[in-house]
Amino acid sequence: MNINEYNKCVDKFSDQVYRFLLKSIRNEFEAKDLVQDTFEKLWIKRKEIEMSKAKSYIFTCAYHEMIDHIRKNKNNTDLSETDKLSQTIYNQYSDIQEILQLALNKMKPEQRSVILLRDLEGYSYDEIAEITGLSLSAVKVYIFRGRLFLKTFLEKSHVLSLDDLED
Amino acid sequence: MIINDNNIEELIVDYVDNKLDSKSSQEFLNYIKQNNKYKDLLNFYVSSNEYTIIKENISLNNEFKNNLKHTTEFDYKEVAYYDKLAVLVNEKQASKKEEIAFYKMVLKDNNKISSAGIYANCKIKADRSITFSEKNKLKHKENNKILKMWISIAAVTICLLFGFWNIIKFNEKCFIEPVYKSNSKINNIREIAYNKIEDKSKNEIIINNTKISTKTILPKVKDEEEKTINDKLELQTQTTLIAENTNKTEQIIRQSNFKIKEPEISNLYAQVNEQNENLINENIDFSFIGTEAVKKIKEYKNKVDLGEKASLNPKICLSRNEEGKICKVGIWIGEKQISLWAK
Repeated sequence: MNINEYNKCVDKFSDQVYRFLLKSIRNEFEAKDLVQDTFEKLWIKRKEIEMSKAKSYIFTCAYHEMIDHIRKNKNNTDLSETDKLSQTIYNQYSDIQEILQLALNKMKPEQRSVILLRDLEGYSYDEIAEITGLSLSAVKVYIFRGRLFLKTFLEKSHVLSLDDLED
Repeated sequence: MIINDNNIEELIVDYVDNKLDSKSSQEFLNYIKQNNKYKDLLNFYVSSNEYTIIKENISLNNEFKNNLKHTTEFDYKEVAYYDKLAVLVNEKQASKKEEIAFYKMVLKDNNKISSAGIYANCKIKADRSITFSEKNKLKHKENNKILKMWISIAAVTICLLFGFWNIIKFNEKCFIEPVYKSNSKINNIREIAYNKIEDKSKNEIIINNTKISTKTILPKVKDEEEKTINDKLELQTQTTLIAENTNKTEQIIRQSNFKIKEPEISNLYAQVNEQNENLINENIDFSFIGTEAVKKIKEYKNKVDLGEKASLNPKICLSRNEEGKICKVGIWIGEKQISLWAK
């Protein structure tokens, strides 16, 4: 990959990676930092990476950076505060995507990433397994359980009515 | 119930919150009455209790918390066949058989229609309005190596050309001024026979008690100097051709590279001494010409590759001013001239 191709990757994939990371860690500044770290790695390895595999590399890097980041900051997270915030949002919002975001927040980082890669980027199970380093069966289980969890969360939230579904 | 200093504060708080049963409350009050030091503390709590305190709706909070808790505690083993099919269909992983089975189940039960709708809405959608604003920070400027290479080559070429040009210019400065044949000041040419002698004189350059400076005249300066001579000094030039001036020599000088050989230099010395002898009557010490001329000719010889086969016969000419004093001595080497000027 040359400089021109690298710059094209920035244009093409930075938004997608940023959205993925933002959905995963829910912190704008941290997500931006992780995007920068990801592309820094891509820049260093640019000579070894073909343009066709750039997206996969970027998401793999971003995923691992994000998991590392979550593990590092696990002890610093005030869970009670998060719960309070979640409850507040839960009571205030009725938008399906926001409720789903709340449901995502309750998932494990790995499971959340699998669902996001599937939904946001449309990756196949195999590709998700490659990016996350999980086995194919683990990916299938994560997605199946994730879907059930999201459905149950939506049902409990009572925000979905038949009118919403018709829309 | 055992009441002591360690748990008394806890019991006070419970008492104020009405969390103690009647038996415990009685025990607590008896203990307080027996220990006067806690009376004030109890009064403080009791007085605080008089203020209106909004108590949380415990049952409502618990219900809400339980709702949240239940969503996270899901028993996947108890998932119904319908749910499995629903997930597979939504994930587009179901076989045709499974798909047909799913839709049959949905059509049979109205509740499953809404359930299927919820499944369909379980997909996370990307918010396209969210963009990464710092793309320019990530980008790297393209280094055009070819362009850089050409720029460096051009720079080196320019430097080399400039260097060569300087060398050529420097050498040109070292060249001796050409003498124009049309120079009107050259007259009274006469041929003089002379003998070769060695010049060992080390006399200073002095003409009529005046020091002589030597300089090389550039082509552009020459015209100005000639004009100055014409206008101010009104020179009457008396030129004496001392050297052998054969046509052959001139042709060699013009057509090919030439080289000053030692015999020519010795020849020059002879001419100078000849001239000296001629000028004795004018009380002019002219021996300096030999020394300076040789120096100049040697410089000239060192800096210019004149070739091997060519030869040269130097000539000397004297320029006199209006008063008849010598103001300039010119030494010609072919078409070049070394001029020695009186200050």
